[in-house]
Amino acid sequence: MDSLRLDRLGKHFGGIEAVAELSLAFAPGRISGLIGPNGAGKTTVVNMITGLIQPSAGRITLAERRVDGALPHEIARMGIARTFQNVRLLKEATVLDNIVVGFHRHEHTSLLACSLGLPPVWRERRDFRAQAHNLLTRFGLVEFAARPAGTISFGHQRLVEVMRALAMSPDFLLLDEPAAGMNDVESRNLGAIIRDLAADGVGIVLIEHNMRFVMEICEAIHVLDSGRLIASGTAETVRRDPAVIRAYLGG
Amino acid sequence: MGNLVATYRPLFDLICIYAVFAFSQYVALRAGLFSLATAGFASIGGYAGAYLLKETALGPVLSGVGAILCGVAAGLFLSLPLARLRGAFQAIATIGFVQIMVSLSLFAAPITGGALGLNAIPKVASSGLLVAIVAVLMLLLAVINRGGIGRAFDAIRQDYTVAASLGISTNKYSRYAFALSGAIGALGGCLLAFDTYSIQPDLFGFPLLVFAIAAVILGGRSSVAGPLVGTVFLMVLPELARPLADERLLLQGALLIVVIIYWPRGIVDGLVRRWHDRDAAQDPQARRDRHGLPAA
Ligand SMILES: Nc1ncnc2c1ncn2[C@@H]1O[C@H](COP(=O)(O)OP(=O)(O)O)[C@@H](O)[C@H]1O
Ligand SMILES: [Mg+2]
Repeated sequence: MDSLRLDRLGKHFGGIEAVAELSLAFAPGRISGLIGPNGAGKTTVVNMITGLIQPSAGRITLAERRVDGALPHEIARMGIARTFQNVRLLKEATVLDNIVVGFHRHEHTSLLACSLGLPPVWRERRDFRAQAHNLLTRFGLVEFAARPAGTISFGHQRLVEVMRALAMSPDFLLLDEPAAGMNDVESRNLGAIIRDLAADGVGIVLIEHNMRFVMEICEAIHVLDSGRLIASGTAETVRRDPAVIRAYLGG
Repeated sequence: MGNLVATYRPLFDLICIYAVFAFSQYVALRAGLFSLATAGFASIGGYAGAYLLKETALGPVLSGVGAILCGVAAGLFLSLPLARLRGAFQAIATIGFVQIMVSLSLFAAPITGGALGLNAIPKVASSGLLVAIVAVLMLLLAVINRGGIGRAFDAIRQDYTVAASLGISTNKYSRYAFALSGAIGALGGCLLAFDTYSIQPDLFGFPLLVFAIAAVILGGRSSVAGPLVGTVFLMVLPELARPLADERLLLQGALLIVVIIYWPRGIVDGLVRRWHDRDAAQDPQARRDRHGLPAA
């Protein structure tokens, strides 16, 4: 598996330079933290990687394949999954169904077979539901399977979003502040899940404000400030970096 | 549509046919399209079916298939520019499409008979056939809803961006929905021609557009039974209130407004929800859930 590379990536919104000259590589099986004060450009980076917005400059590649310029659904099919900073579940659907839509990437029935309800359609449906159920069990949320997604706690909604992304079996998973709204126990559980995923070879990009959480689980941390990379390294080096202390930790 | 009611055709047949129109609209809404093109598709299917039946030796079945294929083609053609538009822009463009179809059917007199329409169309549809078609259509739609297409429709309708981020090609499914809505709308138009001896341009104009959307909103957008119930409601009510039969359009409009305000889910989906509510009456949390409240 190859890395996800950002090469001199830039984005400006009108006069605002949201991201500038950003070059980074995210390795498979590694947990990379992306931190920085509010408005530093972290979400913008995720939006560019997933094709929701077009970079103004630079390029993004995954295993020598050009990612920038591809459409969001094509990028998802390359194996890049994400969660949203403001949880975006399908509110009308149940928790289970929210996860089942995530399996779309693994669907192999044609539109025709699907329209006619041929046997593979039902086999797939059963299979996806069973796998979604397994994910819920693994995350300890199986009791909420039949609940409308909008009615469970925000921490749980974030977990459902992570499960939905995992249903894609992604090679890279971009998590935009996944622990926001979670209590200590919940975020610790999330940390364990993220470690397991990385151990399975998934490259994780973690955006997070909870410093303890980030320092604990990230193998590499990249610090953004005003759209620019001001430091990169292990938790220890980043913590001691004067520029980081000035921009962020020092407040 | 007023003149339709005034004639002596059996109401039952018309309910079946108009339910087909409602299903065409239902598919579009289900897929997150703000398409009001059903009346235009119906026009295409009606004229294509009637023309093929009268002027060629294809016979009723192949003429019907021809009409449906014309509807599919129209849907795909519309989807080229429209799949990229969202919301109100889509709605406005499809209203334009309906207008164009009405104008075309008025001006293409050699094929469509102009304002007089096509008459003396052989009656090849029976009530039994119409019921069978509605039943098969409902089964087909229920199957589509439960498989991958239904899941993609649900995702696109509820959150376009999320759908794309899960690898769902919103364009592909929008095109599919336009084609299916076109096929079903054309089928309805064709059945109208095959059942009622004659068709005219004003059958496929604004009143039909309003009817299709009203039937789905009234009956329910989620369950497959919704559009059928909405159709029955809209067609039977004016018959019961005979003096109002000529104010059908007015009645539909008023009903639509009342339902949107007081029962936004429509009859069937509203009842399903109510039933769940009663089911869960013992469990306070489930009741809170039903009303979208966070956990206590
Ligand atoms: N779609 C957008 N249009 C205009 N400005 C935007 C848009 N998205 C982000 N920005 C701006 O870009 C900057 C970076 O935002 P963002 O990436 O959300 O930061 P972070 O996620 O690090 O808090 C902010 O100044 C923000 O206002
Ligand atoms: Mg952000």
